[in-house]
Amino acid sequence: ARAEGTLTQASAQNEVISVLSSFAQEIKKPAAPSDDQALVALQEFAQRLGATEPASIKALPKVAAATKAQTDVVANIVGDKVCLGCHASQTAEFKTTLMGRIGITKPGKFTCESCHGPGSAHAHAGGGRGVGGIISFRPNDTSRTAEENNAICLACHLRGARTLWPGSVHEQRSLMCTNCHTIMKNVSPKNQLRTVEQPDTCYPCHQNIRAKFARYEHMPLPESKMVCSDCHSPHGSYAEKLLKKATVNQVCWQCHAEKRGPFLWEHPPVVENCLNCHEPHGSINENLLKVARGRLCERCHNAATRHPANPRNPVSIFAINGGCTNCHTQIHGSNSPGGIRFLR
Amino acid sequence: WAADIGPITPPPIYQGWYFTGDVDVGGRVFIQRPPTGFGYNSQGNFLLPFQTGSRAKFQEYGDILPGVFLDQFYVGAGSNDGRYNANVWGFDVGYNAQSYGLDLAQNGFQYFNLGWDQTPHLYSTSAKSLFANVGSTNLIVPDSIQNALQAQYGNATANTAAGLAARNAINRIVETNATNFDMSTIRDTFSVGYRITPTEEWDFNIFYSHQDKNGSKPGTLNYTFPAGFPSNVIGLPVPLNETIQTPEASGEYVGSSAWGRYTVQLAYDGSLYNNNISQLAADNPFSNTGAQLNFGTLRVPLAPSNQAHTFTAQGATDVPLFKSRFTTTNQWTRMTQNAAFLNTSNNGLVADPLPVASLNGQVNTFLTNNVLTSKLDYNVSNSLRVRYYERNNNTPVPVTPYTNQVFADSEISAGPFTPEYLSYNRTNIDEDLRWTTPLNWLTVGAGYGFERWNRTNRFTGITNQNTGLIFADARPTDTMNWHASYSYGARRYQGDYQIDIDAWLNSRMFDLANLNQQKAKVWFDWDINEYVTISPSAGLLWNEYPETTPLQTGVSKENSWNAGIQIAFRPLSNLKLMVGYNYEQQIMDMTAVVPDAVGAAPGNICNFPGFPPPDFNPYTVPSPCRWGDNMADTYHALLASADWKAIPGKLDFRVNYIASWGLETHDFTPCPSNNVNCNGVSVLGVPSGSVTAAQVGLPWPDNTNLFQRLDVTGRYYFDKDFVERLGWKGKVFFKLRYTYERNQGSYWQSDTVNAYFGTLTGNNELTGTSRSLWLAYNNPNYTAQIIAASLNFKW
Repeated sequence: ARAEGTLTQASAQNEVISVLSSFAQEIKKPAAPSDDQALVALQEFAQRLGATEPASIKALPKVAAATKAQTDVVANIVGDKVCLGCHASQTAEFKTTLMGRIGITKPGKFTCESCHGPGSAHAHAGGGRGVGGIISFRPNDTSRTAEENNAICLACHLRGARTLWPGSVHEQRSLMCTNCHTIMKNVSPKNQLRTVEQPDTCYPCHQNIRAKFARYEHMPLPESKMVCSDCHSPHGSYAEKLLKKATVNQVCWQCHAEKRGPFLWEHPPVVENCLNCHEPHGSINENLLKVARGRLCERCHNAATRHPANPRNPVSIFAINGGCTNCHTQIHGSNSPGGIRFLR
Repeated sequence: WAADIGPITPPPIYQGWYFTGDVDVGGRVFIQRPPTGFGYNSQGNFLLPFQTGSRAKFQEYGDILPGVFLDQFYVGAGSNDGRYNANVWGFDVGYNAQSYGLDLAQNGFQYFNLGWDQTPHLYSTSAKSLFANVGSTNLIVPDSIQNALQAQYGNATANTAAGLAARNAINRIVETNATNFDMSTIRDTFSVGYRITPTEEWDFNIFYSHQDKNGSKPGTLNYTFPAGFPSNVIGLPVPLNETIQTPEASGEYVGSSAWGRYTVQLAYDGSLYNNNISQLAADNPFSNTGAQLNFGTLRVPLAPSNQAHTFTAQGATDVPLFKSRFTTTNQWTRMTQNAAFLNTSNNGLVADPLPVASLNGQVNTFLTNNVLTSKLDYNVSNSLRVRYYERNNNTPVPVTPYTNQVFADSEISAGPFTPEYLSYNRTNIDEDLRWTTPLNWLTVGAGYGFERWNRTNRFTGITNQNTGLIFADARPTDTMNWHASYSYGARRYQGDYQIDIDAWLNSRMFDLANLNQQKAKVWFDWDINEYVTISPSAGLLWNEYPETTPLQTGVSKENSWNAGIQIAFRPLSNLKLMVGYNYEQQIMDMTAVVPDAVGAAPGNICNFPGFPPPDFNPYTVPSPCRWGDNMADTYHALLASADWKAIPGKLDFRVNYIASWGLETHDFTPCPSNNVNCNGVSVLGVPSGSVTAAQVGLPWPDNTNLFQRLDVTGRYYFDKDFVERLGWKGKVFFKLRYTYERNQGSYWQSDTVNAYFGTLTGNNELTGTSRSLWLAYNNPNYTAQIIAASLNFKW
């Protein structure tokens, strides 16, 4: 609880959980699905029982017949109060989130069943993960597909950056919103991510990228001065690799605008793609280069009649320090009338 | 019993405000702090043995200093009715990597935020230079030093006692007069954003950021370039004083039609780059005359100011047929640059008047990306993407070409030189079909992709690539989850490969040449039981460039693959362990040829008859003129962590360890015999200096790096009663942290210049003709041990 007001709210919820937990103990056996109306009445009655000791409904035996594939489960809306019987703490935490706060200002907009589906069968069955057709959103809940779960979120969120979600790589590969987002509580400072730091949300699937950022040369992502979404748009993109901009270069120019030009003398591989020479996630070479300078250039300049094609001794001025760029300093493009060789 | 039902508990009333916060304040001491840098080797040996450490890499992206710190603070407040909240936060307060933010929100309606961030980039704490005014745009070497070096320069190339004395004299002058300085840049970014959602249908965003970048970064300049003169390089700190402004605005409307829901978005993004320094001039340390062929002044233009403006129109709508949704993005970008050209006249060399005073550069790009997703059946979905991007360089080509311009402050070339601007377009068509099998937990799919590049002013105009893709995603049980994909693609150029045979002979370019490409990825996540979860993953990218002509040079193979595993183990309810390992190998094979110039010594088999074209046949370059290098980068990364709640709610410990080891090797294939250089000439009995090292070609040493970091953190949570008796309402914990961090690398390209002075063009720098000066700035090695203690207050 964050503050006095919230504490008051939490106290009220504790009271509710207390009485409903007692009620749950009272009913022992679940009512038939058709008894929803009676159940609601019983719940209201249970509220007045005034039991003071909360008891865990999870300690009660679950319905043996309940299975996770509950597509044929008939259930009705029972209202938030019923859910509070078992989920008061989650609800209290949810109300500290942005969506929860908006829910307070707009009663009825964010009820539990708005997202989790009708809960009567779930309550009848005594609760439990996936029981009674409740929508759990757990990534490993096999009773529903990713598409089915995501559709619930996208009913409101198919806009903004998510406009490009349909057809995106993450959508095509059956990722769920809840693979990355934790809806019911604040873990990250923003965007309801499942981890405090954004890259930690991405790393479980992109383990190789995490390894790259541990290399000697890296952009300041491990130092928390950058995040993955500075370059990538995980919800969908109009470019490859879920990039934020139309091309790799336009992504890089966000920070490295001095390399944008246009220049009088252009270097073709630079114009087309920074990744022709650079490995942005981490490298053993200076300036995030793919291989040591000299060889980097000789990948293309490998048969010239001038000096570039020479294999070069490791103590040569053409190999040490910046290699070719010792002289060709303007390799990203030159705006000097004398810069045709990128020397100036 | 209905009569017994009394009043039902009314819904909770939300009133008042809540306040929350988090402050972490403490101090740190170093058990071992990296030094500012290594000392100069008075022996003048450019190949120094292992260096001492430097704190530059350790503090690359932010100072880590002994003393007090305010690691973070966060103060938040909000109304309990959920309408309003405000947050103020800061990190690394008072340090050069500090950042602060203010967020104000009327939840669900409008949001306002302010931010300020500093991001430094420290290159060196031990750079050395003879320039007296580092940071200036006109770097000056005092006359007395120039005169002293100039006096020795002419004698230094001789392989005699006098030559040796001159070289030693240069060393002493440099050693005596070079000064140490820090070399770093810092970005200061201020940002402000506002978002309003007046109704559920409308959403507007505006954002603006202003970034200043100041400091200096390492650079080099070459001089004395004409034939017959040595090529010297001067390392120098390049000053930075530039700004990037980023204005953005967007609006969105979401509505409903007979087809379903639709979205319309319009956006503008700007990027205004201004470089306050147009050029950098530097004295030639070896010459004080400034006359032609003594090259007194080195000069280089710096990045020109430029702008980019992007307009985006994006829309999406449901389509009734097959539950489809169509999304289209159309984007126009204009990039312009019109900075005044540098007058290249220098050192007595007079350049021709320029045809235009500035470039008036203009590049226009257009993107259209269209995606149609459909549900052909409840279990079958389809995705079709058609994308077209074009870059049109509309910069006017000057009617009068550029002639007689000074190229390296020492060489005037007649020309004419006419720029060849680059334009291209790229078309992609991708079709993916996905089927959720009757198993329900298994989804399989297949796809086809077509990509066409159409370029101007490259060796080939059009390349076409066709790619097939298969993938599968499965959740067979609620404890297993895996994704796998494989694709094979073939790229072929269309029409001629019009290579510039004079300059490139029989080369293939990796971005243009024919390509056979394979990609695969697999990721698996398995909760073996409630205690253990394993997550192995692997991937490969296989690029093979087949020969299209005999004995073709260039990159023939560029392959990489990786494999890793992460294991999470929870042996006790209060103990979580994790260990992860990742291996990656990147391989790149290339070959090259070294033809000799026309008129080389008779008998030189690489002095190709008939060279240059058209009589010369590039496909008959004999093998003695060919060399190769197979490069391999190998990486290992080990991560481990432990989270132990020794006394739950009272005392916990967290341990993190990371080790990253990298190795770059060069498997060099010299010309066939060690006695034959790459020009086909026997080097047996040839006096030292007659055959250059560049011609012989030696294997490059390995580059290696090992980075390790260990963090051990203990937290002790004070009793709530105790805290309250002290007058604090909230949580307080004490944090003690030990950090060990070490980076150890071997980089022959920079290690060899760490001694500041000494360079070469031949086998031996001491008898070579060049005299270059380096900054000797790069030393990434360090070891640091820190103990930090802090108190954290939460309320």
